[in-house]
Amino acid sequence: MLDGVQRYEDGDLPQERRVEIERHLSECENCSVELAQLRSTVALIESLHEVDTPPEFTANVLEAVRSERSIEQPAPSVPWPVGAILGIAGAVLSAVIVTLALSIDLSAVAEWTTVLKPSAVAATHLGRLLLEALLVGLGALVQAMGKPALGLLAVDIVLLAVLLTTGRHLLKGRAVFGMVAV
Amino acid sequence: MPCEPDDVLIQRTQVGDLTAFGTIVDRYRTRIYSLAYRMLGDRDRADDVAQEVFIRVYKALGTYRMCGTFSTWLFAIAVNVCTDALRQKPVATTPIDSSEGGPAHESGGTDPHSAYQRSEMQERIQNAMGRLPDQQRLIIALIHLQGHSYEEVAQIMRQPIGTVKSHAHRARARLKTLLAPCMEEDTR
Repeated sequence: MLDGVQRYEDGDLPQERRVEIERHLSECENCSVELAQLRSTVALIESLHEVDTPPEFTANVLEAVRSERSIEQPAPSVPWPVGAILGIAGAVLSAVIVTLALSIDLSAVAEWTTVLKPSAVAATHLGRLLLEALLVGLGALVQAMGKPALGLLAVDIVLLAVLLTTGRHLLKGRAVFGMVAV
Repeated sequence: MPCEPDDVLIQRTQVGDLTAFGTIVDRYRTRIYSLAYRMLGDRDRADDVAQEVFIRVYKALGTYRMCGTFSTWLFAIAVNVCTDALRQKPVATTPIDSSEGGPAHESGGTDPHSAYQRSEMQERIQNAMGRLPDQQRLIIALIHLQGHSYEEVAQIMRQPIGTVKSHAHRARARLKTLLAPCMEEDTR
């Protein structure tokens, strides 16, 4: 019954059930005592005083914060539309950098063509670019969700992975260019 | 000076204004300290925990987004810090030494006997609270001492509202038994 009384006190019951319980409470002494005791219990709990902090509390917190701040400043909050625009701009820039990095060493592509058919080279190139766009886009999404540092890190990792997996031929000179540009 | 809204103080803190953060601390320190004290039953630990709460708040303000109420976010951090502290050492349920100064805001009447009785009653209620499981005590403190609604407590504790209500009902039933002698004395 106590659970029903508590739900009644919480105002959780539909009107019909409330009326039923009120009728029951007026007839049943045990239940009306239960309700009275429940209300007294709540009154006792609510009689607990607030406990004040020591007078130097705020000064101590600010002192602790000052010493923390000498190590790290709280990062300023960037509204999400700005973060999203920055993220997308960063992604586009990253994609341009990757494309430039891949298109510089044409001699390496020429070497590839001796091994692979031109159409296969083009397909490999296109597939790689699509993968890069996907991964860079993922980085931008993370960035747009309010984790700029994580987003930039993701983009950097993606670029590094792309440059490393492009092959020894394409890496010559271009990895350095790509990393510096990023 | 007019009372500045939390959001304004937060924005000022985010650009490095420590005075604004001091105002936030002053605004909430009694509530956070009281919650910590009711959860831990020890003033020194409550002091450490309340300070840790505000330090964590400061560190997290950089990524804080004003999509809910600041109070709910602040209490969610307080709940986490209290829970961490309770994991290290459970709540103290022994009577609080009167040499600690007793509860603050002790007011009304100068009669030493009635002041002693009030203080003793406070200790008994605190001890009864201390005998509840941590989750139940936390919910009772948030609802009945901090004035949060069930919805707010559900948000603070990241639990379904039904679970919060169920904990609250069990806690009140247990407290009714534990505090029955106090109620009998009261009616005498």
